[in-house]
Amino acid sequence: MVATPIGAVTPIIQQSTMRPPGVDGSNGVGRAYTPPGTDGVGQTGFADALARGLQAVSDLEGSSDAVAQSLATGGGASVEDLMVATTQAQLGVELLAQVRDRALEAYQEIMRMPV
Amino acid sequence: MSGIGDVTMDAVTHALSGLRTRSDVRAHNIANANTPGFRAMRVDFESNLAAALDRAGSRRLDADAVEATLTPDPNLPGPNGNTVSLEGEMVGQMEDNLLRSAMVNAFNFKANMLRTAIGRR
Amino acid sequence: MGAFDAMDIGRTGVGFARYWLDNLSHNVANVNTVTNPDEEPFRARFVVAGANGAEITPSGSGVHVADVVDAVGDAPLLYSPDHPLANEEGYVQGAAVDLAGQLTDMMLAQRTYQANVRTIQTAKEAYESALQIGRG
Repeated sequence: MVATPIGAVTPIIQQSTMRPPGVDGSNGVGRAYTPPGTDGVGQTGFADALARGLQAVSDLEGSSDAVAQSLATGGGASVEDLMVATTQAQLGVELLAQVRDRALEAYQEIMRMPV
Repeated sequence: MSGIGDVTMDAVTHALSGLRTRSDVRAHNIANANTPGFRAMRVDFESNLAAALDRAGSRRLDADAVEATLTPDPNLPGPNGNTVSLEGEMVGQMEDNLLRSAMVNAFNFKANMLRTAIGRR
Repeated sequence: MGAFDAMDIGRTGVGFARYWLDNLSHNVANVNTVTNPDEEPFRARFVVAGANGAEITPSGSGVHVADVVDAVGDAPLLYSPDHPLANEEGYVQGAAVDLAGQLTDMMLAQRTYQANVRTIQTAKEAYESALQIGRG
């Protein structure tokens, strides 16, 4: 039962690596969408999913930092860029924290099992 | 800057303090809107902050590395030699307030990230 | 190029409309200014608008005062032999100001001012709503 919530949240982390429009110059119109996990790559378990989740969240925080610094220095970023980027990073971190908490709970539950 | 935080929090803090300097200067400009010969001033903290960020990379910013510079406003002088543009200062105040809100948002975001990482909500 | 371009562009419009109103007031205030017919009469000042280039955004950056030109044409001669500025024939020269035209322009300038203030307000509200992005 442990794997079910993790499998459900991983696609959300991957989707949220989309940059806000304007940061990378793409307008996001008509882009094909491939659901994560259907390409059969990198589905090797919880440790791998967690590592990819950590990397994705770290990237999100990095890009929101870049937008915040750009706005602070008048570098062309807009308020909406900042709000979208920070919201995405915030959600990513909260999601990761939830995964961590659930994993710990599961671990503790297993440890409490009478053998 | 020292203690908890990172270079982005430093940049946001510097931007907030630059905005405070700018609002002081705007108040002075508006107060002298009718003073003959008065030259309105502008505050630029952005370029110094950008340069300091380039120097720092991902390291923290020095507390005194970022200073706001004052330059004369390039407005055309009015009949009495005054270069204060009242509507310019008004719109500028609105922009400063919006940027301040955005910076406060960015700071809160960074603080919340740290809180989540620490494990408290 | 800043984070609040629409407001900066609106500001150029308000600044232009204010300058226009200033000049219209000057023209209307001098509608009764008389001169000796041998001198240059008071002439209404017309403000010429010019579009800004790519200073703020690539698509355009508002408006600026491109030029201020004086009204052309003859000023009216008024018979007023007791006037200290009158010439030998008893005429003084009135102002080259078309009052009806100035008052029409004043309405236009006022509407221009209001429209640009509205641009700024709308942009401000838009940016404020952007600040609400992500607030549950």
